[in-house]
Amino acid sequence: MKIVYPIILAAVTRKKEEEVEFSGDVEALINFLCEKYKGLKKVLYNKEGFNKFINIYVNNEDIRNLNGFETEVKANDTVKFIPAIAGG
Amino acid sequence: MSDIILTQEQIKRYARQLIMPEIGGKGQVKLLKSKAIVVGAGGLGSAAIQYLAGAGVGKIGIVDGDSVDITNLQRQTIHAGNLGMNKAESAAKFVKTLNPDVEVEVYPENVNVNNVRDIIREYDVVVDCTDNFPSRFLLNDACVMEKIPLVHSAVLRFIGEIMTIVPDSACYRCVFPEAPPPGSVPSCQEAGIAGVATGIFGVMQATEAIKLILGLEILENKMLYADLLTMEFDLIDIRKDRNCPVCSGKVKDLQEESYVETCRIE
Repeated sequence: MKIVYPIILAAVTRKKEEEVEFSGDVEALINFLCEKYKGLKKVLYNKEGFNKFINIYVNNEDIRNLNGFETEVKANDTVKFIPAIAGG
Repeated sequence: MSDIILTQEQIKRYARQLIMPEIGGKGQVKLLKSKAIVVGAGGLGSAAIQYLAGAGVGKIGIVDGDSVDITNLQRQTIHAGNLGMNKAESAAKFVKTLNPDVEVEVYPENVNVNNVRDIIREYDVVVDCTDNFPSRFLLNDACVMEKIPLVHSAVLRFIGEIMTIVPDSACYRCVFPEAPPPGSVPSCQEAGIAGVATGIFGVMQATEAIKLILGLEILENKMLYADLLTMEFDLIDIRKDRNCPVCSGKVKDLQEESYVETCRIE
């Protein structure tokens, strides 16, 4: 599956996107990526949980409109992390 | 609607859009009678203002408390030759030169909890071209409370997003309930901004505002997110959050403490 990283995550992953072999839900995928990239967890989470300024989209659908962090992802899916930006 | 009769000069000025079925004479009159306010005359604002003025939007409000700096000119082309001038004044000067049909109201200040509702109230559409999270959350909340459509856009490097918020649609807080804590997402000053990105998204904002005035299809409950490096454009469905403190109607007034740090509303 394709994972697309925004600027703030790419600073840790050193790539804007990649193909990973994974099946499971979004929460497990995030754990998998946090294992792969040290420092990713610090960007994604605060002490209250997953940061509310970062949205996760599976095939352009917000996971909040799917099954949240329990949304299943599979081989041909595209997972995008999109944080709020403010530049103008 | 037909109490404005186009002059011969206006028929010439707007000839290229008068022949379009989506605009025509009726649409042009609608545009000339409409009022749009652009908050922020920076990168996005510079681009949006030019095309709102060109199309003949009858009144344009321009809000900005900053003055033109040389680092702005890489993208804020509307301010050419106006170094040191207030940005709202500078943009107004451009509009007056381009199209004398347009009445311009200058607000040489930044929006805040105390002035924003009064500033936006008389307008048909608000165009958010600000450059910081507190202003963006503030404009969203004020527009929802005043039931005024808002065209939101934000950019960073080659990335941009745009969505149009109308009464009863999903609002900005439905998509991003909170702002990043200061320092966690870089600003354009820290990470950079491609001038073309502000141009493209600012012009898209003008497009949305013009379509909204004309009653054409807009990005309602949709966010367009684009990476101009790869030219990937994603149209993302967004949905109203029933628990959104603002567009659910729970919060009815702007509170100073809601526009600091993460802009969270408890």
